[in-house]
Amino acid sequence: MEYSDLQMSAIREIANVGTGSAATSLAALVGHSIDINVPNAEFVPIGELAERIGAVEEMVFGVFLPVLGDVPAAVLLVLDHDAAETLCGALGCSPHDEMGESALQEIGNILAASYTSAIGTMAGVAIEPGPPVIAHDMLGSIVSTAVIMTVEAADQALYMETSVAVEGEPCAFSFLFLPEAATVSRLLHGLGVG
Amino acid sequence: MSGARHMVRMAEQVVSSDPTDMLVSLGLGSCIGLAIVDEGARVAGLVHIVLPKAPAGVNGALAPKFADLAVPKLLEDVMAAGGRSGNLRAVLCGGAHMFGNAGTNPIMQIGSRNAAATMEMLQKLRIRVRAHDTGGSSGRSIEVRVATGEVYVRGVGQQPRQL
Repeated sequence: MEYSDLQMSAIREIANVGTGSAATSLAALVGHSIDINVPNAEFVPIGELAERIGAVEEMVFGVFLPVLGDVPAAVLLVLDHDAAETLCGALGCSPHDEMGESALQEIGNILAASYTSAIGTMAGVAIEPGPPVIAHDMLGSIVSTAVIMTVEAADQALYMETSVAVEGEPCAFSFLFLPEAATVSRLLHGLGVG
Repeated sequence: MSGARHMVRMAEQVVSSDPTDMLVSLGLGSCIGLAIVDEGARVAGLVHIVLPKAPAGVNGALAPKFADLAVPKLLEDVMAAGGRSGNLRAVLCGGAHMFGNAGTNPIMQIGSRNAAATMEMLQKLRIRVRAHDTGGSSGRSIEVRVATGEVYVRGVGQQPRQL
């Protein structure tokens, strides 16, 4: 899909505002300095999401949060094994123990709240994430199930490739914002990409 | 398009009578991979079902997405490709419950609802189910070999298993 300059700047602004507040909150959680960048942000058809992120059968962690309010939606964070290790490691745990799962859900909470708030501000809507749930499974299984759990998901999702440096140690994950079809036009219009 | 590994993605269906073809869906979570095969006639179809029931007014192109429309459409297309009604066998997998605690929220139980809706339609249409591997909490991939009617399912970190 081709975007106008205005549309691209709206998407970039979500990334800038969202990552700024996410970095602050995450740094407070892990007690280290955090840098977050979004090298790539775009709307992607939901059928192509998993392949865009990586190998469909790769084992990943997925943190899913419903988004409640004016524009019902859902958020999915996809972390590969290295990213999960790095983030959990900064909190002194492993992604494969119970504490690690809680840590990843909390990280999901922080990122979802930051990005959702940025999207809400940009689009002029009031939205906030509900409680997170986590899965460790094949990328394709996680992404498709998240799309289904978005009730009536729209045909496209906002895909933000995100890179994080925890005290200089880099890792990368994917952030997906999945709007519902009934409200997607309101959201896109509010963002200037409708 | 002969001798291909056809990827059947969400809400897609592929039917083949080319014995060199394989039909594959990778990373099924709460979705269902439903194969209908006639091994004698070397005809097979695979559909990647996403939701149990179509909302009113859904058109034909979206039929593979919904169990209630996908099963009759797959049956019709497999028959049109040369499948014989008495020889058809269904194999299905998927319908997992992927995330955390299912609780009582119906959208969290979508996997088991998909499996139930698919089985119900198969019974209604009198298609014999050869094997099924549904439910649980982890993803699967499915591979259908047109030449033999063999269906393999592979779970996370597991060897392929014939169904």
